[in-house]
Amino acid sequence: MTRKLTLLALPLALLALLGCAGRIATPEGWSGGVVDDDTLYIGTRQGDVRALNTESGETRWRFTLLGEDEALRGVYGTPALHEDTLFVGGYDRVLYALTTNGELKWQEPVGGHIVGSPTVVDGVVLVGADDGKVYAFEREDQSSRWTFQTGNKVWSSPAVAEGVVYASSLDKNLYAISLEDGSKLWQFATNGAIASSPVYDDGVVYIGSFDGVFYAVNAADGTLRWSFDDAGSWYWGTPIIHGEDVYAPSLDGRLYALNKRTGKLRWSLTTEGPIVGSPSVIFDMITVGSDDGRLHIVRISDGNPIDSCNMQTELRSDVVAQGETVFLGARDKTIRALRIKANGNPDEKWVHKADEDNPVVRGRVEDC
Amino acid sequence: MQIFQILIDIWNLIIIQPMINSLVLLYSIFFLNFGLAIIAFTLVVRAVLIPLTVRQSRQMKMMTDLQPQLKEIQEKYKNDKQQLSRATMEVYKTNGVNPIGCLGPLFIQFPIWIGLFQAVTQTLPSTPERLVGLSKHLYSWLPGVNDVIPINNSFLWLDLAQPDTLPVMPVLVGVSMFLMQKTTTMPSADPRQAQTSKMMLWMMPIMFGFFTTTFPSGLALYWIVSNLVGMIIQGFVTGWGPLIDMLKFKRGEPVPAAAVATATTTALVTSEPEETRSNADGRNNGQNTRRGNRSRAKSTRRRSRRGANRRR
Repeated sequence: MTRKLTLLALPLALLALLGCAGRIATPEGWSGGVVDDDTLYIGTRQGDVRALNTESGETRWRFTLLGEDEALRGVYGTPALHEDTLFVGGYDRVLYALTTNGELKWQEPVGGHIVGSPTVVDGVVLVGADDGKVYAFEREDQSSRWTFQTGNKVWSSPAVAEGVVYASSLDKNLYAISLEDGSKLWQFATNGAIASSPVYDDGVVYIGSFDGVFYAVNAADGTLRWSFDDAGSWYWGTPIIHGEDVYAPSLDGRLYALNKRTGKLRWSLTTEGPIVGSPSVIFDMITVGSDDGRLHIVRISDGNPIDSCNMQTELRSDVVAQGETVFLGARDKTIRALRIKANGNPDEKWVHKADEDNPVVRGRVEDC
Repeated sequence: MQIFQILIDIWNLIIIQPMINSLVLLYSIFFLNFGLAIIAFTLVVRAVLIPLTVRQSRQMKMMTDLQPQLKEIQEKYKNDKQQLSRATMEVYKTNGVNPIGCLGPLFIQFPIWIGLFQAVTQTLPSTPERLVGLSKHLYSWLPGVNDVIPINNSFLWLDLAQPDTLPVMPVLVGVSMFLMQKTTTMPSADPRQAQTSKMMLWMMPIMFGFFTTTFPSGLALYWIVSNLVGMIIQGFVTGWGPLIDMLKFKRGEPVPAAAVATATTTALVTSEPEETRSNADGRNNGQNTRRGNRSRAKSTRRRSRRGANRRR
């Protein structure tokens, strides 16, 4: 009898262990927010987009993604606000256009999951998808202007400047595409996949790659201007330009401050976890979230850490700042607002718990 | 909570990371084809596990050899369970057999299976979260690993990160497991054990086939290749008898009931070859098991009578 039980128990134990080890992953999303006046528009891990009062954190409206498969209702990219329309790329393979009251204006299915943010310029909405395409839709009637096929997934957000679209792909290339007709102008090859979104500034496109190299590429012809190769892991988050520097977050846990003209390292901030989201400038400081659960605040001038707020959950969303407040999403399904004092000390304003009926909590995080 | 995290870190360090980096390295070697990388990885795993397999096989072989002796004891003490248990343990002790010794290697292989499951799902990230997670596990000193990311999930008709949308992989997993068990048949004199083994022979392939419908097909590919390799190794080590028997069965020849008893769990759960034979004395390797069982039964009867005569 014992042997019989043992025989039965073994395979069952194995299967239980395999089951505990996890199944096929479901997308969670790490949307950042966009602020307009007193409203924060942000995607949540509940598979919806919410408009929150920036002062109180209370919900003004919510729009649940419409994809048939509920497991795919995630939002990774920061919504794009253009005039009175909010554009949201859903992991459910749909691009949504919403009014600022949360009503659906139109929806357009695309051929793959959308991870990057939509970009709106000159009446065109651009979005990448993991079918390897960059889609260009007319803003008003959602008709397709063109599509551009890359060699792998497009998980980044296109950047647009002077009639040229800059888009990166996991096929290791940065592409320059004509906004008018979608034709390829040039492509720049790196040695690693690119999930980071390109940023254009003053004739130069900045991009980081999985090869651990950060590139500055001449926008005119796609030639390399300089590169920085000291990172210990991939670049994922979108870099930002501020003053004479470009700030590049890396999955090696560091935020690199590079001179945007020479690529020379000015300083780097080391955190205890990968940095997935994009940083934000507030006063004379930079704030960035990390997988170590902390929102880090550093002085721009010399990179010295000023303070940090331990939220004890992975922080992967872009940080958005308005006035003295920063907003971000966290992996524990919360959206948080922190007031950053002029001396750099953070003070939690509110926490919006997206999975609760009464989602707003006020108070201070102990480690802030 | 902190201890739990430490255990996870240790697990990742000694199991997950080596597996993930091995898979990625093999992917870069085998023409950026992850299906081939999994097949190569399976062969490597089988090679690494050979010492365990041999130990396990020896234990199984010894257990098989003791079957007639155990049968005698069962007959002798069929009305005294305590005495039966004592005598059985004595036989094990005398012959240097640990009755659960063959399970030791099996338990050691559990982590490999679970690790492989995690390694496949993390190496083939289906979501951005998983891809970020993968970056934490790659060795920065290993040349070229970052250059081949993201891994191409496609192999034949499969997306290796997802379950097979067709019923092909579940069926192949079930069939290969069934065949694997059949080749590792171990006769049992105990009818209860024979019944259990028979049940396992059918239950396990069905269960694994079912779970294949929810697991990444990359893992299913590992199981299939592992089973096939196991069958081949078993064939070379202990002969092709059981397989031939199966073919005969298919041609309409009856298969003895006793031969149905299999070393089911070991064969299935480990997918490792066991040096088990379809006869107790190991002399009719590759021959009809019916004959082997019949002769064993006769010799058992003879010994029994001799013992009775002596007692008289």
